[in-house]
Amino acid sequence: MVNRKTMLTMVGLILTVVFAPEIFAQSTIEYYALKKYRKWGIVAGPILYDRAVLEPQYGDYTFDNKPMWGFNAGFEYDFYPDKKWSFITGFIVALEPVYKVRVNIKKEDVYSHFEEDVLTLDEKYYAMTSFSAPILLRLNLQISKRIFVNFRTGLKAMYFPDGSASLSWTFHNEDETEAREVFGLRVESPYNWFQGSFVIGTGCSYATKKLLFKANMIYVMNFQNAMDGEYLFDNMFVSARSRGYYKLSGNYLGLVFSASLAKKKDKW
Amino acid sequence: MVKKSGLLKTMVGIFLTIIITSGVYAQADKEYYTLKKYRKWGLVAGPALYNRAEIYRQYGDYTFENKPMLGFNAGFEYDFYPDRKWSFITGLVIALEPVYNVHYHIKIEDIYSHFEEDLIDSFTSYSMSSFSTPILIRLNIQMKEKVFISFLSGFKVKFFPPYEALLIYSISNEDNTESREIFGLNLHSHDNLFHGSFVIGSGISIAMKKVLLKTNFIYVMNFQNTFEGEYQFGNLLTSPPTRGDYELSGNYLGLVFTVSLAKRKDK
Repeated sequence: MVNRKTMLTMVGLILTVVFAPEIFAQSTIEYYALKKYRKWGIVAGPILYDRAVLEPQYGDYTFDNKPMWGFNAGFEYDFYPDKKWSFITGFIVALEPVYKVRVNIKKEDVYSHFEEDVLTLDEKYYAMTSFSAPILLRLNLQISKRIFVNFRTGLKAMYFPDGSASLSWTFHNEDETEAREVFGLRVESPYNWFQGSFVIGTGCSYATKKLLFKANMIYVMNFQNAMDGEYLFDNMFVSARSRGYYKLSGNYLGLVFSASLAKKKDKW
Repeated sequence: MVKKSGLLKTMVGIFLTIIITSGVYAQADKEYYTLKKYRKWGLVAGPALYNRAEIYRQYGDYTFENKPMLGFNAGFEYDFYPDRKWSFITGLVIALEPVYNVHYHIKIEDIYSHFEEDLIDSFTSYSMSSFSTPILIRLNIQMKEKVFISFLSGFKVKFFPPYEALLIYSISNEDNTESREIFGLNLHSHDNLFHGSFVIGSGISIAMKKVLLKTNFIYVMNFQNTFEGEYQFGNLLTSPPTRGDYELSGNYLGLVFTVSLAKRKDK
């Protein structure tokens, strides 16, 4: 898993450092159709975070982790919106995931008054929003008069102070004189307040009369996990204790829409 | 205090990068004719001075001193618009990563009686080299015909696989029949292979006939510590054990020399 992540990141870095400057050196084409738009744009769109990964240490019990939805919103600044090659920076707010789990406990492991064969807990939790600033290299290719395809790659710094979260599932006996905590999950984000990530993406731009509209698919790979933690299944009637580690990379696939207004006519 | 100060600096840097540069940039797309003749690629090299490690004592009275460490940066850079007032720089840089530079002082009453004075010693260690790629925004301001001042700001990603280091110091009695481990330092870098950092800097460029020579001071602030771990003084004859945490940020002040050749005339 780590090897795949490393591979992807290194491919991205190679694209950023070697490939892009070489191509860049070949041309500094300008697109007249894009000259009339402002450098600033508003950015927003949904994102889908990768599911968390479990690393069981002992025991047979485990649980499911689901991908989580989030959002990106903010603004971007394209240094040369009318050029084939440019750089983009900006400021993005995102909703950060913590967990989205489905935990199943077998009937024989809890008090006898439960009638279902399998008891299920579905829970999800988001942390505070993060603030991030990307610096991206962007290539624009004209497809038709008003349509452009673009590719982008670069780095992003995210401000996300450290924090922790926990989830537990407790069962009571029929007359509520006794309780057993059978499942617990405790996670925490890294100690450092800033986290780095690698960004890669592609999309298209459509130039309308008053607006330059862009839609991009991006994939963001963090240099370190967004959340680390551990889980424990315990106090069950039949099954033995299970324990393991929880790792949420915080990597995500994002659909990013951005809109830049046309300048007033006297400005261009 | 250390954390807050680092955070403040980084936030100020990010603020400068995003807001100020973008705003100022919008005012001018100036080009410098003098710089048109140089290549976009340049060779980079220079010394780096890493900040001293911090220690946080948990219990006990002993402590030790951490000194700043010298390293180096070497590689190449690519300036997308060398002749423009505003440009972007990327590249590939190799650096020697520090682990520890410790100086400690053990009192004579805590060691075997054949020692005639306090035990004072120091150890330095570097880990493997790291590979990093910056993405920097660069502002060039012309001072004279051939002299420019530049300001840099941006991010850097560093490839630095997990690494562990251990320093153990033992002393033996006079006839070597007994030994005591009196100091230990156990360190590790983070599990992640890539580390992010914020870069800020300033310098001067001199346009010569065949080369463009740039000299920049940069300060690199890592998003996470390069090394963390713990230290222990123990098995001392008189003093009780001492234990604490060790943190090396890996932040450094670098002096970076860059040389870009002039293009051939037919180009």
